[in-house]
Amino acid sequence: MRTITSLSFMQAIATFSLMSCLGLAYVINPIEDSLFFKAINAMVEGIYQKEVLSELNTSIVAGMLLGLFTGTSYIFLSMNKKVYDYFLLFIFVSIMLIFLSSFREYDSFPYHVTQQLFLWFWIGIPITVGMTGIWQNSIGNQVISAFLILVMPIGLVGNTNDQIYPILGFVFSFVLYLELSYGHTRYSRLARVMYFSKEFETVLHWFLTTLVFTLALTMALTSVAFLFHDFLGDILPDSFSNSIEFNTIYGQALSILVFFMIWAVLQTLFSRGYLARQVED
Amino acid sequence: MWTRKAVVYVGLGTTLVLFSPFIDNLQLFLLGTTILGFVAVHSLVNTRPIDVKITRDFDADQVFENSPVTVDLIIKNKGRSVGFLEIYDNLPSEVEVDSGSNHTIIRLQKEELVINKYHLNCRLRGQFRLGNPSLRIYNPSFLFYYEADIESKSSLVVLPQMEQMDGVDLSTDFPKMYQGAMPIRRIGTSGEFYGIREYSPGDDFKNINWRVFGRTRKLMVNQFEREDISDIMLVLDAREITGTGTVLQNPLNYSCRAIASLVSYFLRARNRVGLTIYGETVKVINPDTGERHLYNILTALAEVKAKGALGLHTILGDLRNFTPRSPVMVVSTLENDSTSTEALREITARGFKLTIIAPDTLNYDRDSRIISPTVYFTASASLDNKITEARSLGARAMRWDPETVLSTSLAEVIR
Repeated sequence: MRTITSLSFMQAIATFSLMSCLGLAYVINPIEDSLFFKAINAMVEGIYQKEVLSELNTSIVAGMLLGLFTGTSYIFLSMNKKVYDYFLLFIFVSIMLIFLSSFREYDSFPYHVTQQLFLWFWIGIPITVGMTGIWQNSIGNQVISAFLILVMPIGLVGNTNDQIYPILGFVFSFVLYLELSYGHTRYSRLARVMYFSKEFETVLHWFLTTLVFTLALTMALTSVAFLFHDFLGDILPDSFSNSIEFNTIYGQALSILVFFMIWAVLQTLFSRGYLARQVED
Repeated sequence: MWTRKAVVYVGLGTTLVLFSPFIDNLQLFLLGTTILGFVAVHSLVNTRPIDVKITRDFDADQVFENSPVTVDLIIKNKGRSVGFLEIYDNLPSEVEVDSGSNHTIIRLQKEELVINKYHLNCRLRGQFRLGNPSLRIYNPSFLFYYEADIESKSSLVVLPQMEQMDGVDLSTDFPKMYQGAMPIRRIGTSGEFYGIREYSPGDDFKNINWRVFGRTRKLMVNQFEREDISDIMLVLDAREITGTGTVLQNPLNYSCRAIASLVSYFLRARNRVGLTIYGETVKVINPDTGERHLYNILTALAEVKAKGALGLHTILGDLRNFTPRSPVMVVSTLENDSTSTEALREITARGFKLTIIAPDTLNYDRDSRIISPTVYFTASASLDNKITEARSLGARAMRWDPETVLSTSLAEVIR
């Protein structure tokens, strides 16, 4: 596989991971419970003095597809600065028109349709931003998109072990998105410098192979870290292991931190020898 | 070493693990755990010590100014396999990479040997030191890295560029006992035509000019120049002032090129050539012949730096040991040298055939705004005065524009 093909493959998988992690995030946290949309709903209600968003369709799939469409359009339009400027102006004017026409109840303007599109646009905005990050190598956009994916669906209801499979799917695709999008940014930059090198291709393939293995290992390590909680429960005195604090998610959090603390200590001890050998080099 | 990404990951993972219990969110909790686990796993990937040996190989033993040189950076892995190895070959600022790159990223298997080839353009003479190549190992997700320098220094001597010269006629009144290849304006047996004279008994028949006989009905014979070996002393001005200008375009660089061309030309003609360099100290390379002597002189020229302010008179002592009445060629602008007039007078008084070549970079310096027009006119007038003064002492002196061919300029002044 040539370098450019590998890089395009990374972009495609990263985009797919981005969509799947946003979809799974809304599977785990229904949009009705989302604090973010509740806040927007309350704000819109305050402005219009009536319910607007709750009457609209809150389809996540439609939002994601609109996000995909907007993101793709944005990437293509960005190739031409002039078109890009006109497009931004058009979006701004459209938003103002939706707002004004719905506020003045000017029925000749299809503001019901545009409001619906506007809501779906909000749902799909992490996809739009994330796609720009992936395809235009913008680390800032990648970070904002990851932040929105984590924050937008969050509600106060919480979730439990019943949703473990969607959660594991979300975690896997989220980390895959982060790694592939950031990896693509770094490796494509290096590929431009190393245009003459044939060896660089093997480095890229090594990255992709290692990423698959390390992600699998990470999922295994996460399970071990989880099991460490049960192990601690077995070795600690009953008064501790049977306590309410230990058996809630707080207890799990502390067990996990203890697990990684032990890992860090072992790593430091290992690294000390490693550094000494480095000096000898 | 940790990268910023690793620090952000650990910070985010810890925050999620600690924050998620407050909203009873297993999703964020698991994400935090996974991120911490990911960093932990990656701390073991491509971070162990490596054993890599790096050497350099040049395609040419002698490198001349403005000539390309190919560098083979030979990377040999003697330890574990390395996934991401970034190598940066530290080059001196005086050389530039023409094609290829001194920066590469490779994957190395156990015992694998990789050669990174790149071409350098050496635009400036000198003795350069190529430093230790720098290594950087990243783990695949850019979470950890390790940097080191591998001991592998090399030196690169860039000799001054030489111009192919021909027909430089430096006559001397002091031919040596054995004939050589230095043409002097005396009658001899070389291939160069000198004149014709009337035939006298005993003259070789093959020298009779039959064309003249056909015209005048008189027997005339051709005469040829005599070629002799001669001792030639070249004098190079390496005072600090000769470094004025840019790194590439300054009188000293041009002087070195002129000297290299002349030395090569005279040695090819089997003459004995010596070199005296004055600036911070006086360095004398005694007259000698041969290929080895040429490279001795070229190496000395490669090492010359513009330093010091010794005057031309400092070479007079060493000239005393030089064959009397031989040609002496001084390559200098004679700027800011109060002793030059006295020294030139003494050189000519001792009967040496003096030639002065003054490399003139004033036009370039003015056009590049290194010197102001006022300074240009003052310096130019001063140089003209020095040249006139030298000519009045019987020396052959010229302002040499380095953009023109030296042999052509020299032929004009020698004519």
